[in-house]
Amino acid sequence: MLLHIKELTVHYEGAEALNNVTVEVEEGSVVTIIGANGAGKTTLLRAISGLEKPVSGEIWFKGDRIDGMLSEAIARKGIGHCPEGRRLFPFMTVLENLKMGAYSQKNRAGIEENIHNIYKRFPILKERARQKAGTLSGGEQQMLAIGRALMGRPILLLLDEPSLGLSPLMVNEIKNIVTTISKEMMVSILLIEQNSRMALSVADYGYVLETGRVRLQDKPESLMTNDHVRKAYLGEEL
Amino acid sequence: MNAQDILAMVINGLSSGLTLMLVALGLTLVFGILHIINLAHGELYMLGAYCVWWLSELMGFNYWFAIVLAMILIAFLGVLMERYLFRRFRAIMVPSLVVSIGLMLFLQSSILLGTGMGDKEIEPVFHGQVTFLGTSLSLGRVIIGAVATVLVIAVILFLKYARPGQAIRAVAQDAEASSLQGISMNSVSRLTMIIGSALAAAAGGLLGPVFHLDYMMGFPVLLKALLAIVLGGMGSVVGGVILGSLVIGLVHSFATTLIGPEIAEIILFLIIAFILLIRPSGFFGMELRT
Repeated sequence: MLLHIKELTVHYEGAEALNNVTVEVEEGSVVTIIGANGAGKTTLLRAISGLEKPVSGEIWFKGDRIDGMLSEAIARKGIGHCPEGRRLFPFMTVLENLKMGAYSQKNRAGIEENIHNIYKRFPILKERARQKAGTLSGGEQQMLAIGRALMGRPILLLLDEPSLGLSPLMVNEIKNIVTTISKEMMVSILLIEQNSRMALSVADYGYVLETGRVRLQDKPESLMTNDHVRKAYLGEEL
Repeated sequence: MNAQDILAMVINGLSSGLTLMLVALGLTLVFGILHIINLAHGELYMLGAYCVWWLSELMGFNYWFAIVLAMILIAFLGVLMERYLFRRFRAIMVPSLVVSIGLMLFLQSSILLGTGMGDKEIEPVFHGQVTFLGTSLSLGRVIIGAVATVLVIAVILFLKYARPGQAIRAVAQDAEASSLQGISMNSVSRLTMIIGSALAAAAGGLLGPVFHLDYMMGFPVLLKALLAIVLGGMGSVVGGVILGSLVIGLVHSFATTLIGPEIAEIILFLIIAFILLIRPSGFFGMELRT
């Protein structure tokens, strides 16, 4: 097991955000967590990256317990995190943002090669290389956020609502990017989405999070035929 | 008054603006990273001057060597301050202010107790005048301005192109996102204190031969540095501080020559207050980022 979250409980601003949540991500897989706003999805990713301290429970990554470690140490262990709202460095250029993503990498030639690969995958970022990140469009910012996370050569990539605020065309693009990262770059992915249909269509396994608890978990094919999921998350009339 | 007088005022103003910049740049960097207004920053300037005095006048070291050594010693002091005081009070506004006031008083009293009240002077290394465009200027002032310029440019280049410098900018823009890139908050804080302390010490060492040394000399400089930062616009790091410091240096120089040194400070604060009335967020003011 690459990532194993065991019975995790996290409080956020005094309230219980996650209650006894257990989630597993196998090496090489795409796992998605769907759920409404405020269900605790973002808190879960923040807890994995050490930005929120759990009240109880454990987080294991590659056989090491990582809850309680500093965020920067967790990042250096190989967890890339594309946070909610992208959180780019707005007054730094596209290229500088990418270089910051490689901060834990020591090999200069490797960094250059990585930048080259990311430019190949996202040609628009090469065009905008000298532009300040804050001036990019929403879709370009999302590509830069993903590119920056990939610069750290992660083993596991946490994606927090990559499709939020993007046009349907861009959402489809994000879907392709997720597949590429997983299949070609062999990076495992934990994807959090409100766009449940898109998320379930790319995932190997899915969890449904409701008010801080895991309500359902199953293969995407089964979740998509589940009455509760169809009604509450896929907007289908039953 | 003729063109020569004006040129002299401009050169003097730029020279003192540039040394002020050394203090203000460090202060704003520390604020941007640790979110602490370090009111003891002026004491790093004061200690820099005392250090150079001690090394050059008492120990007999070369003046420039003494400045470099003082920068290293004060940077080390800055590291200790960050490690044992500021790190615990990062982004906690009121307690951190109290801590920095305490530190300011502690450092002032230590110097007073350690060196006594008597007059201390650093022997000026450069004497005489240089003539530039028909204007006679103090050689010391010109050299001080030149050295300060070199230091400021070095810091700007470091922030722009060096990896640790870029990390400082990243943390100033978004500390949490920086930690997700594997950037260590603690080492960036330490590096920022090293730069800030060394620059303040350099300013103290450079201006040491111009004034008498005094254990209280840090506070007025701190006030002016804060003023330069506010004038430049709190949100912008480097550009605002540069412009703010130069304006303060120039206004002070003109007011001193034209009206007199006694009320120059008052005039300075009045003019800055007036500018801030018109532009409350400073020259490069933008909304403060959370």
